Amino acid sequence: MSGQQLTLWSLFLAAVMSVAIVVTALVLALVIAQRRRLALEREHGRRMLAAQEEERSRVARELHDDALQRLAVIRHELDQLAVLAGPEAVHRIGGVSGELEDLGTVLRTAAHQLHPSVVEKAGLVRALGALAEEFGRTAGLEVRLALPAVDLAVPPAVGVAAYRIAQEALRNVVRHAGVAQADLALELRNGTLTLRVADAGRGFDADRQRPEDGLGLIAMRQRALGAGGQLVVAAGRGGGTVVTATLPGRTTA
Amino acid sequence: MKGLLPLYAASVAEAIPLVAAGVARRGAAGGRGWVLAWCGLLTAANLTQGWLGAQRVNNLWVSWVVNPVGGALVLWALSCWLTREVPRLTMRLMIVPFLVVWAVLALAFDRASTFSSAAEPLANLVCLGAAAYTLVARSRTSSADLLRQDWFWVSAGMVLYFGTLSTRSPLSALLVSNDPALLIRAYEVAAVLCVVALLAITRGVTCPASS
Repeated sequence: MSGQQLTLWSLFLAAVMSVAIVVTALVLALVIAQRRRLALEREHGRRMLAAQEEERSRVARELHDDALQRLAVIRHELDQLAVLAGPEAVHRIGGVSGELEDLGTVLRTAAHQLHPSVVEKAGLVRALGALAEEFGRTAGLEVRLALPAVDLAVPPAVGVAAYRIAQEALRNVVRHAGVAQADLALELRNGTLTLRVADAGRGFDADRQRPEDGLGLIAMRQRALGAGGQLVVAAGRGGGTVVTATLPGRTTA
Repeated sequence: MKGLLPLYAASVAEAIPLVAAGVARRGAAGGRGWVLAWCGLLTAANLTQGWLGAQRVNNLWVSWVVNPVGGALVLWALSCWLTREVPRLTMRLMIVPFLVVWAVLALAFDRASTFSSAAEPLANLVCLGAAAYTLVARSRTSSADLLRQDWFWVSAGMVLYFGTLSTRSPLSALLVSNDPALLIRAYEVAAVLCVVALLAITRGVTCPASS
């Protein structure tokens, strides 16, 4: 081998080894950087959702303990006034009292949507049943339920996360799927709580989902991650979309 | 024969993604389909070159057909994995100037009867850049596990594949007339890395669907 050939050969080997080392280092750096970024995002998302849930809870309490109580007092005062007033005034007071009752219903619904206390009071299974009924009543969506016969004692944060994910997924069905039916299933197996919301609607391309397309999917994913689980959005077998959240859970006593 | 083993392994490895995707019954939609088309092209070129070589006929001209078509297929495949509209469209539009520049370089500087010293290195560098861009751009925004993503394995494999070819091509043109034995050894070294790269691409085309 001549001097020139030896130089060429050495350059070639150095270049090939550099390529291999650079590619390996690049791949490792990308994987490590992504894991760190996701851990930070997960923690940030968890804190943000916890703060949001706390604030919603505070507003719901204010509505329930202050505004609704005041409404009740006003209605009571009006009833007292009606006893003293003439027939014309009684009729008008009755109308105002009815309006106040409607306002109370609206405020109670808003307080419930802000903080689903039903999850804590009645349990996740009944809360999901009530949620399905609510979607049927307000949005005309028939939600077919596959829920456990017994209630599940899951950690409060997990229960609220599952409820919120179901709420957002059903809202997405109403907004984007273009169908009037959806399936909601919940099961607890080997300490893992699985929530599945499926529809046979238009579906969407998960690969093309961009942040600017909406915050619903990001919020659902962050709720699942914040509760120590994960969320997968995939195409259904016969079209449509399937949202599956797997969360850490435990069985009832 | 024994010394040429890496070369034969690299030739066979080009068909592995096709076979693996068929066996695993994974879909060939989007980028995967174009990657499999590229692998099919490489496999067909290898078979043709092997047959021509056995007939003692110059088989280097096959590369002149495969090189631009393969480059275009790679650019199109990688563009399918870019989620943002502007880079995706840019990569697709880049195919036309790439083919024009490739043809100009091939006609001006290269001879069809020997290794390319200008057009092929250009094609390798363009594909290397596109694969590296796809790998970094998608990794920076993806929230899914990278090691389970088809685009991650395919683009990483392509970076290694075209990076290796980018170092091999200039040497081939220099050594083909001076020292053919050294040229074969260089091909063997490069072939080992190409096998690794094609195995990474195989992992990519057999991944579960992207999420």
